[in-house]
Amino acid sequence: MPVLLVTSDNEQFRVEKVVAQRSVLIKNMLEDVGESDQPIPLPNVTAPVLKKVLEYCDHHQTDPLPTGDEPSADESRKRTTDISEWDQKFITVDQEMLFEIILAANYLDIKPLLDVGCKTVANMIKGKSPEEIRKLFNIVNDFTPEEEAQIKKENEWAEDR
Amino acid sequence: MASISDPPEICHALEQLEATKREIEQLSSRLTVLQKKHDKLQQTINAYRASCAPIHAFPDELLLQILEEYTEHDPYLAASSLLVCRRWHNIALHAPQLWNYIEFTFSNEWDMKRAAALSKTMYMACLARSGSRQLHIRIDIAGLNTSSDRLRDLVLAYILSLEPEMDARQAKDASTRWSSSWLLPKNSLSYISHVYQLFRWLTGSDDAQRHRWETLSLALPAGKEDRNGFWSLFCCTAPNLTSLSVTNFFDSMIRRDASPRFPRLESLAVSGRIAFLRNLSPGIDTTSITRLEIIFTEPLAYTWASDLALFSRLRHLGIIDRRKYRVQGICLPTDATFDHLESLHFSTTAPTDIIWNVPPLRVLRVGIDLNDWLIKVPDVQAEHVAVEFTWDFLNGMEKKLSEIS
Repeated sequence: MPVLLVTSDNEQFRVEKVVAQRSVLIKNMLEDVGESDQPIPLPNVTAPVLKKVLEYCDHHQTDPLPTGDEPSADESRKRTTDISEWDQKFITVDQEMLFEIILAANYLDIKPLLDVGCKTVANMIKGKSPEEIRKLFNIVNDFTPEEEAQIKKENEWAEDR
Repeated sequence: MASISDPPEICHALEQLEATKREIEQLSSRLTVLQKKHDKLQQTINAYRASCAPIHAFPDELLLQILEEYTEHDPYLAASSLLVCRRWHNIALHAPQLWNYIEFTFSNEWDMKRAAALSKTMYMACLARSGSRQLHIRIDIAGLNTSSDRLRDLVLAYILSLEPEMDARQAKDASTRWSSSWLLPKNSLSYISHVYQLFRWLTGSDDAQRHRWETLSLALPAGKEDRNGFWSLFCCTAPNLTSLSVTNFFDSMIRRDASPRFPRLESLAVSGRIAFLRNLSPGIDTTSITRLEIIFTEPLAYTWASDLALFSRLRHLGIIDRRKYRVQGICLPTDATFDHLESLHFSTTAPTDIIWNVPPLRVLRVGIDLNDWLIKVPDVQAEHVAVEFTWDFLNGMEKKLSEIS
């Protein structure tokens, strides 16, 4: 049975339930309202972003759902930043869209998509200096010169690597 | 101040000088006020611009997840993220999970004193920032060389810089002959001693931090004296250590008076020359170990005794033969029974005998690297079976596959 989703810019998306339920938020909402053809409002997601998110959900509709029993970050010594080929192609978007997808995945509670997004951002900053990271994300250095000097002094051990 | 003997023009000049000083003081005070105002306005503008950057739309937990992915438990990367901006600094500094994997790597830095001192500062910083989290320690000193080795490397580099076309083998022989004729100064080993002192401090002081050790991975130097010297340092007490991994491990290092005291050890991985493990107890309770991996690397004959029977609660066992020159197969006991075994990874040649007194397994991995056809096909049941082949094996694959099936 299809589900009707309504974005913040009032666009409607009719999708298969199995696809929509990749989102834990939507899955819980559907369980709460029971069998109903009421549209589900998604006030935090715009149409272009939802379109992209649904593309991901559609491709991964048969994947096993996360159980919550996965090993925590502490249990695995090194986490892989490997991303599957399809996911990599899917997530090759401009920075603004990437951030929107991450925020939407967080809001809609789609953990695998959130992981792919965060890994992509992590890969973008790998090997970059703090100055290069600032430039990449348009972040302003809001330290005073004294604060910056103090942080450098406290972390002098990390400088030579 | 003017004196009565001063002529009028000097008195006038002195008055003007005083007035100018007062003016400078006023302007200086005004400049300080303006500089403060300037800094405050700049801070407001920076804070506003920083908050407008799209990445700042992320809630703290998302930014932290990105930092976790980025740093991959590397405190050096975590330290670099502190310098991005105030927000990143606050998030990273107050996330203990970014600081509890601590790695020491030493090879042959020329300024070993400084390298050791910085590593100590790094450890102290990680200790403080990781809160009360369990610590995962990784120490890699496999590349440490004695002074004579380092001298030879230096001479080799010098020879090759003079004679770039020289054959590598000839250059190596020349550097060995040349450097061996030199007498090293008496304190020539002192550069390693800085690392030695660092680890003596790490393992000898402050019991509280060693209570937090959960895993320890240790790659020891290849040289016998250095290896034994460093190993004795790690024969300390770490009451909550659950996992130990040692490379360049020689069982001759384990003596009753030089055995680590890790009473809660559950996982042990050793690689090197291992003829027996029984001296590990009583510092380690072998019956509490559930995961054991042994990698044989030394080209020696092994007459493996019944040590495996000490590890009666094993759930995962790995036996891997990586000897370059095999003198003979590894002898394994047949009298041990492993009721709890779930997975077995076995990769060796010509086992003369092997324990197959095991219940049905979940996973069986067998590496087949045989050209003498002496492997005994395991007579066990397993849910998942993986067989690793080599080219030698592939030559006679058809026959082998029929045996395995």
